[in-house]
Amino acid sequence: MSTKDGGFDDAVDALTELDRLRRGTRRQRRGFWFPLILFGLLILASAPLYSVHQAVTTDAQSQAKLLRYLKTFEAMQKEDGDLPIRSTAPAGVAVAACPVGSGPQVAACGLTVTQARQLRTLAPANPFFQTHITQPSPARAALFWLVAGTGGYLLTAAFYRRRSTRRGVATSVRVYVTAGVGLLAAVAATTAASIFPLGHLVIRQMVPLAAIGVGLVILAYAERSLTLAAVGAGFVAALLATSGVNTTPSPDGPSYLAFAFLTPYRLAFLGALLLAAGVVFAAAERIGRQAP
Amino acid sequence: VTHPIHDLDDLVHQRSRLGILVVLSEGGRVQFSFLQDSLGLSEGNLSRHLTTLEGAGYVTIEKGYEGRRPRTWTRLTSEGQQALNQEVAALKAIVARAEAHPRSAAPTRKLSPGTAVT
Repeated sequence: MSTKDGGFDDAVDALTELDRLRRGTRRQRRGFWFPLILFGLLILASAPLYSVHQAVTTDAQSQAKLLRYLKTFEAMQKEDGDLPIRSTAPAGVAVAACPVGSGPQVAACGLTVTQARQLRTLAPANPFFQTHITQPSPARAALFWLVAGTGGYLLTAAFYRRRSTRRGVATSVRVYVTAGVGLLAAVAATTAASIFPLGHLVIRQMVPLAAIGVGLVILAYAERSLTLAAVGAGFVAALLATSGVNTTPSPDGPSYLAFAFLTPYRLAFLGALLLAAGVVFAAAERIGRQAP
Repeated sequence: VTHPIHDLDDLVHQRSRLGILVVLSEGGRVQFSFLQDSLGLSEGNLSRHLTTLEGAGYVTIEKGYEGRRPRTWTRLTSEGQQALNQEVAALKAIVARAEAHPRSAAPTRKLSPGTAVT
C-alpha cells in the first residue's frame, strides 16, 4: 500500500474498510423488524377491546331524550365547572363524531367510565340509558397491555438474545425492555388510580400505545437507526392524529386539550402501520443477507 | 505544522486491530467467532491481537458458557473507543490535507508493515 501524498491512499482505503466493517456488523446486529411486527400484531389483537362508551338511539323519542340530556350536560357545566359529570366535548360535536350504523341515529360518544356510571345513576327511571350505554372496557384493555405488552417486551428480549447466540452479535435491548415494561406498569398504576388528567387519557387508551411509540424511539437509539426513530415518531404522530387531538374551548377559562376515543378501526390502522413497517424491514434484512 | 500521519497510533492502526475495534464499536458485546468471521482471521491470530488490545486497556475479554458450549465475548472499553475515534479523526485529517494540498510532500514517517487496510 502506497503512502505517497501523505498516506492519502492508505487513509482512504482504511476509512473505506472501516465503513464496510461497520455496515456489515450493523446489518448483523439489528433486528428491529421483530418488535415492529410483534407490537403491530398485539395492537391489532387489542382492537376489539377498544369499544367506546356510547349511547345510541334509533327512534325519535330517544333521540330527543339523548339530545336534551347532552344539552343539560353543557348547561350544567356552564353553571358549575365542578360537576361530577363533565361532557368532554360540546354535545353537538360528540353527537356528530360518533360513528353508528345506518339509519336515523343519534349517539353520544366520549363518555368516560365515571360518566357512563353516573349517567345510569342519574337517570334510574330512564330505561334508555340503562340499556343503551355500552359497557366500558378500559380495564380490560389496560389488563391486556399489562400482560400482552410485558410478554411482548420479554419476547423481544428473548429474540435479541437468541440472535446474539446464533450470530455472535446483537443489539443490547435491556434499556428498551426495562423502559417498556416500566411504562406499562405506570399505565396500569394510573389506570387503577384514575388520576386526572393522566388517568383521563389512560381511559382513552392512548397511553399504552404512546408507550409503544416512545419505546420504539428508545430502541432506535440502541439500534442506532434514524429510520426506526422516524417510524417511532411517525407512529406517535399517527396516534395523536387518529385520536383526534384538538383544543376545546372551556367556558370556565382557557381552552384545554381534548382527545377522541380510539376506536377499533383506528387501532387496526395503527397496528397495520407497525406491521407493514416490520414486514418491510424484515424483507430488507432477508434481501441484504442474500446479497453477495 | 505536524503532518496528521504522526497522530496515527501504531497499536491501533494495524489492520486487524483497527478492524477489531470498529466491529466492537458497532457491535457492543461481540462473540469471538463473529470477530473471526468478520475479519477473516485465524483463532491464534485473533487471540494475539485481542491480547495486545486488552493489554492496552482497549478491550475486555469475558469467557463463559452458553449451555454447555464455551464462549468468549469481547467488548470495547471507553479508552478503546477514544483510541478508535482519534485514529479515525487522524485518517480523515490525512485525507482532508491531501485533498487540500494535492502536491504536499510525502511524510517522513512510514507506516509499520501490515498497517495498510485493503
